[in-house]
Amino acid sequence: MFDEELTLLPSKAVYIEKHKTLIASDIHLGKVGHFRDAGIAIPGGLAEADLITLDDIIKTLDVNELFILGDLFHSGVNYDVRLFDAWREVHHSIDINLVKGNHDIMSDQLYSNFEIRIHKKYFLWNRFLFTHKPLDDNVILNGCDYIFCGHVHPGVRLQGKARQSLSLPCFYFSEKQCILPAFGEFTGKYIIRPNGNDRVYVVAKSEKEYVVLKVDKN
Amino acid sequence: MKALRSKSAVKNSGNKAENIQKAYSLIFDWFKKNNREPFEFQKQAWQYYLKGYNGLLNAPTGSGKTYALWLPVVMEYIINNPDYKKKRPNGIQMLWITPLKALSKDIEKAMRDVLADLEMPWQVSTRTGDTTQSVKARQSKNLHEVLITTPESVHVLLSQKGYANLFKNLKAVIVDEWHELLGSKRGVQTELALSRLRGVKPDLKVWGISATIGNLNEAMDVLLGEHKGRSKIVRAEFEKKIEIHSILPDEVEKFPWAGHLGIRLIDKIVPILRASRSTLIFTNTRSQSEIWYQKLLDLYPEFAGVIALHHGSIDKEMRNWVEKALHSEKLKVVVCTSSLDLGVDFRPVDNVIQIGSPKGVARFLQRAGRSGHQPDAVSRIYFVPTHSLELVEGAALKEAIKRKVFEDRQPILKPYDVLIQYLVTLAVSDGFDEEQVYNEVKSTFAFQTLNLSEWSWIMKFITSGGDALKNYDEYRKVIFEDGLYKLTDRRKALFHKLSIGTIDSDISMNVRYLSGGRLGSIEEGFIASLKTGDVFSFAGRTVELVNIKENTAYVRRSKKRSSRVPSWQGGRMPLSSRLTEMLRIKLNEALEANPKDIEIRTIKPLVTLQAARSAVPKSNELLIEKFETDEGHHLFVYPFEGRLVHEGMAAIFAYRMSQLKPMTFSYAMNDYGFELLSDTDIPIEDAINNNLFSDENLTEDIYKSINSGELAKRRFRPIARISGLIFSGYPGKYKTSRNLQASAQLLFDVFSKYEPESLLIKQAYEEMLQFQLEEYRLRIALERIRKQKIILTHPGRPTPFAFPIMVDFMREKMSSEKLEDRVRKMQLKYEKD
Repeated sequence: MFDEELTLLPSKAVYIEKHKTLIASDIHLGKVGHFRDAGIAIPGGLAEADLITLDDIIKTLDVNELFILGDLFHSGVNYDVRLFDAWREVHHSIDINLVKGNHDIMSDQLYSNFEIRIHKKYFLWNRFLFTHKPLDDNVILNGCDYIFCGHVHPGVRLQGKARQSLSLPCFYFSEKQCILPAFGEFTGKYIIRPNGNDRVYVVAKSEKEYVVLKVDKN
Repeated sequence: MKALRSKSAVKNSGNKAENIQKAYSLIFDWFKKNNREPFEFQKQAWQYYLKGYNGLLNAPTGSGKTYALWLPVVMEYIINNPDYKKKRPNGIQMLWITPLKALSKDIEKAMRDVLADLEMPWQVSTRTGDTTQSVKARQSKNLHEVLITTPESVHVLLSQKGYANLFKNLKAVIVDEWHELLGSKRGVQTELALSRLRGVKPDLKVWGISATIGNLNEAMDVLLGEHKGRSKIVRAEFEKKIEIHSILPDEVEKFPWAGHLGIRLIDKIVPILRASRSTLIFTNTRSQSEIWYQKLLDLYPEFAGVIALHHGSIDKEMRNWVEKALHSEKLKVVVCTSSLDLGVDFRPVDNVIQIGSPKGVARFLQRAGRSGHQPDAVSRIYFVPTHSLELVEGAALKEAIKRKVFEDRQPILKPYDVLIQYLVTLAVSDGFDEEQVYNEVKSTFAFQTLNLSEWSWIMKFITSGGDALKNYDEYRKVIFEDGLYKLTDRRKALFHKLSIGTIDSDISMNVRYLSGGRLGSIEEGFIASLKTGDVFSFAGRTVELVNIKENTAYVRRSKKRSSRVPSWQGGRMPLSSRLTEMLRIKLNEALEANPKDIEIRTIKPLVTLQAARSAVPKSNELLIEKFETDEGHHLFVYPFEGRLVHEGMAAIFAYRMSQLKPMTFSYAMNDYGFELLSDTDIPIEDAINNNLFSDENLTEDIYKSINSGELAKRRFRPIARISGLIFSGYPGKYKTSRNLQASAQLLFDVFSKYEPESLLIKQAYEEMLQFQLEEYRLRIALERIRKQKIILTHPGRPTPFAFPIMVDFMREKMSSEKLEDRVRKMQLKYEKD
């Protein structure tokens, strides 16, 4: 795409090998802790899983920079933020850019402690625009070629013979923008209705398999 | 009467005998003054009660059951206190437990009348969740002689400091409508409360009142637990006359093969409505009642003003109004759901109409009994089938009632969540002694098999949160202090008191008019599917959605027409095994030359067509149909075992066949059979030869075939709430069901991972097997099938049996194929906007 080769990872992130760039969105760290703070106690472990996935990617692929398209943290400071702190210490050499999402409500100071560069609404990189929320389809792209965003946690419903159906999270490429699936586990998904020319890549994950597949309308 | 007197006189001597005689004659005089004569069963109940028995009274509503057990308590007091007219601080003498708040008003009035006539200065009060705080506060200090209350409210009393003192003079506990409580966690709550009250008052007398069910003896054992020694079942032998009429379609050939609304026959019931003072129309779901109400008004505007709607999601005040209006004969027709199964006496009701299958004999009888309420009147009920085959159920119901076949109510065993809640309740009030309470709990029916390792897990859970949650302070609730287990943290105690109860209330949204006035409540999911300005019918009104704030949907009246009706979740009840038994018998009669039932004669053309296209199974046969359509490969199996058993069986069959080759199935079922649908040929012949019907590894296969984790997870939400793992919030404060569901699911995952041997997880799986899949019935069904002859037919097209299942869109899935392969065969669904 626009001279960049993108790899869609089954772990629900995009990798650009040429620049050693990893793009992920909607990790929602601390979602678990958020419930706990609301009187519904849950031990950690689930939040760690997302960080472990991130760990695995970085171990197998060569990653120099990480772009997070919003909602890195689910809510205020809690236990999972400390876990992230520990993770950051291990991976301190990676450059992190974050577009603030609606869930990223912690003080800017905290992000700077983590050495995360934060962007209020968007940032530009190699003629790509990164935002949290998708932009209106009628937007006129000026000074950039394509948009990457998150926020909606897209998924699609698939249909087959004998009344079979599946709903799976997906990478959703439309004319002007790509909406990434939510990286975090336990984040839910929103079923989108693609248009004719859109390209949809579903993430088929079960106990043994983990693949990204392109699906079409017939 | 004479005999009674002399009998009691022989046994007792001196003053006591005199007092007993005096008490009896007071009561007999009271009956005479009210122009009545006590029934035999009432006299029996008095005698046994006064002799110190515990027991169970089997009597229907409206039979005078209240007097059977309320009067002996009064008599006993009169016997022991000849100066009974003198006011003194007696404290509570009798606790009357009822499952339904609505019932308490009538009972309270009946009791007050007796007291007034006898000039006894006793006081009667009611305590339910609706009682005001100031009254509750007064009650906590001093209880009146009689308290009418619910199982939950008894537990709230047990959570108060010094409760033992409150109950120190308690003589009797009467549990009304015990058959309703029996099969629920509220029943277990009742058992536990009784065990504690017995601890306080060892000579307490306990009596239950139950409608007729298949297992009355067991019902009494459950109520009395270890104390069943000196006990008696007293039966009110009413031969209630019941007339059952099925509403028949004019031409069965034109009557739909599938359906669940029954609207087609609406014209046929109107003459019945017109000819009687008042009629109750029972439907099986709330949506169905809304639709029937609308249709009746649309087609027969003459009923405007004299027709009303009554179901569980309609605002309480509106429901009360309907009940009162029915009572005072202002209404001619009330369309209702099980919301009117129980409750207030409706003397003016002439007829009852049942739309669609009532699913069970007992329920059908109970509904029939809503009409002709006087003991000697005839109950008249009309059965309206919603599709052709359902007519057979009309005949089956008649047969079952003739043979006096009743369903059992299965008691719940060892619900750990209820026990946990109860122990924390005791810890909140005065604290409890471990050994004493353990023995009391063991004396109940529900926990008779509780062992020490289970007990110690539970103690660990309430004191430390157990292995999974030990790091979290909020789960360290109960502490050990001065030999007692106590909960001293005031915030935790408050949270607990607010959470007492086992009813899993659907979290739903309020529906209000913009101008004020509440209409009722609707599930969030339905509201979420609406846009502002959309019009829908609810509580019998057509309204337009204006906006949504917090947990309230504001609406205004609309003149537009709309067929949109809210749907409420709620399991579809399976046909009871008693009824399916009768159904199989009746179906076979359809092949006889001259069936005796009119329903069977009417359905004959359809059954003949079934026989011509495929076959009608005899009682020693299992019918399986296999055919292909554009949709895919179909396999239909007809065990006639009720939908839950079919669901489990469909999943197991799908799983076992998918072990022969990688396959994906979707399946659907009704009460008569189930369908497996696949995109490739279904190897049924192979499967039959490969132990398809075996019960070997059955439980493992169930776990593998259904998404057992997912199902157990859904079961876990109420368990988590009852055991205090999640706090559903202050009353009236909003917490979305998604939020609660999500937290319950997270907890489930956490337990599964960190403490898989947790008793609460075990309970979720057991409840799933027992209630969701009816594993016990499933095993019996498979055993029956193994003895049956398999009839495999290949009809060219869908048969009358197959059709109603085929059109069901609610489908489950089962797959042994790789997800990747499945995705490759599929395509994107572009939904219509």
